[in-house]
Parts: sequence; C-alpha cells; structure tokens
Amino acid sequence: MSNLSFEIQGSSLDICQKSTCFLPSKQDKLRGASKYIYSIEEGLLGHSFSNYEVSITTNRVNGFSPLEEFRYLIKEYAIEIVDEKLLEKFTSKIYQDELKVIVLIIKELKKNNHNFHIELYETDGDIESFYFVLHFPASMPFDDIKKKLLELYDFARRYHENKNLWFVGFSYKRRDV
Amino acid sequence: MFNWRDFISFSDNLIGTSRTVYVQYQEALCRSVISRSYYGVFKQVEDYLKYKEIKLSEKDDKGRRLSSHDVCINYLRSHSKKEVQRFGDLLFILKHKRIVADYKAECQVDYKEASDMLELAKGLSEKWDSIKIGFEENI
Repeated sequence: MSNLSFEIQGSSLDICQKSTCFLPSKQDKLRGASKYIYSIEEGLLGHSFSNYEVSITTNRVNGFSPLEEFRYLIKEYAIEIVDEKLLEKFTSKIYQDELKVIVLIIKELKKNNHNFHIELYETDGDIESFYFVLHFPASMPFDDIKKKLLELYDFARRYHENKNLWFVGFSYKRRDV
Repeated sequence: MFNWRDFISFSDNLIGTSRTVYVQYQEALCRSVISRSYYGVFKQVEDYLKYKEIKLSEKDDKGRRLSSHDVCINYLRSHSKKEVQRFGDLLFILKHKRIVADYKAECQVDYKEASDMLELAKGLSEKWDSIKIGFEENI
C-alpha cells in the first residue's frame, strides 16, 4: 500500500501503520528469492553474477522449493503449457533435484531468447513425458533445427544424471512470427 | 518375419504420392508417414534389445515405472557412448512427433514436418547397424 493511497483514504490509524511499514507481497518475495537462487546457481555453474541483484536474505530462500520456483518461472515468463491438468500430475511425481534441472533449462532457453512452449503427454508408465517445444521459422532447414536441439540435449546432460531425466526432451515446431 | 524397415520404405513411397494420389488426404498421409517412420526405427531397437536379452530397467532409480517405449529410449539416452545417447535423443524427438501425429487432432501436421521426420528416420535406421554394436560394451 502506498503513501498516496493512505492520504486518499484518510484517517484510519490502522491503515497508516500498515502503509508506513511496507510488507513485500508474496510475488515480490518470489521474485527476489528467485533472483537470489539464480545467482547462487549461476555462480556454481561458472556464469556471471552480474545480471542479477543479490539483495535478498537467505531467510527468504528457506522453504522456497524448486516447485515454487518452477511455478514462478512459468508465470513470470508466461510459458504456455499444453494441458495444465497433466502438469499437476507431473509435478506431483517429479523430484526436487529433477525440477532444478528443468528450471535451469528454462533459464537457458530464456537467456538465449528462445520461444518455446511445454507439452506433456500421458504414457503407460508412471510419469508423463515432458517436452520443451522450441519455435523456429517455417523456412528453417531441419538440419539447423536438429543441431540446436542436440546442443540443448548436451546442455541438459551437463547438469543432471541422465537416467534421472529420461522423461524430459526437446522438440520443435516451425512457426512464422 | 516382417522387416520393420519396410515401414520407412513404405513411408517414402507414400509421401511421394501426397501431391498426386492422396491430395485430399494430405494431413492424414503426413501423420501416417510420421507414425510409421517412428515405428520403423523404434521396433528395430526394441527387437534387437530383446533378442540380445539386454537387461533393461523398467523402473528408474526412484522407483517410477517407465513406459514401454521409454524403457528402450532411456537405455539409449543413458548409454555411456555419446553416439548412442545422440541416437536416443533423436529418437525421442521422433517419438514426440509421433505422439502428436497419432493423438493430437488440434495440432496441424504438414508436409514439411512429415518430410523432416521421414529423413530423420532414414538416417537413424541407417545408423542403427553400427550403433547397436556399442551396446555390447555397455552391458
């Protein structure tokens, strides 16, 4: 609540106290905590800290699960997910260390300005298939697309034990934008 | 015994007719090409792994049951040799397109996509003979 809204609303002491003690919203906390986590992870992965502000305390990170971080990213980047119901099932079965890799992949895709959406499919196994579907121009040759997808597989393979991420893959869709 | 590679040869012939014989069934044809192309590769892999009695894990290390397709593809993608991993990654891309082709009416499947997947399947099928030799060393 801002000071301006307090002046307009007038006389309540209760409102005054609240307005002068700014409490970050849940969204603000998530945003800050994510930046902090990314900074730590990027540092560990040998990337630069410079793009992120490290201004949040560790207390706020405590209790912030990879699932919350994943959901935050989906919302923040407005990532389209085909079949939200399957996402619920998927996230109920996936483990935290696996979600962390997925979060890293999302970051990598965004860092390289890729347009993509996520598709999930039911299988006859216990967990859904999860695909990052990248968007490429309609005229792009398949060999170029394939090269890019294989680079992404390499990226993902660097950060996980492969056997734990058998259900995650990359695919493509040609789309004129 | 049926040779699964015939699915790929058949798809090659089929796509050649897409602008003549089956003009009005263009998308049905493209979907069939993708689907058969995938099975033309996948069944070769599955049959070989069964024939060699290679022990495949039906669960991952966290106890979750893998789908029948993922049992094989996961084996390839988890292989110690990068060449085999690559093969598995490409088969995983082909599998995604096959799921769309067979189950997703709301997605449009066009000639270019069918042609891409057919070429991919041809490449994988050709590569398969040399790839499978590497399995022996991973057992």
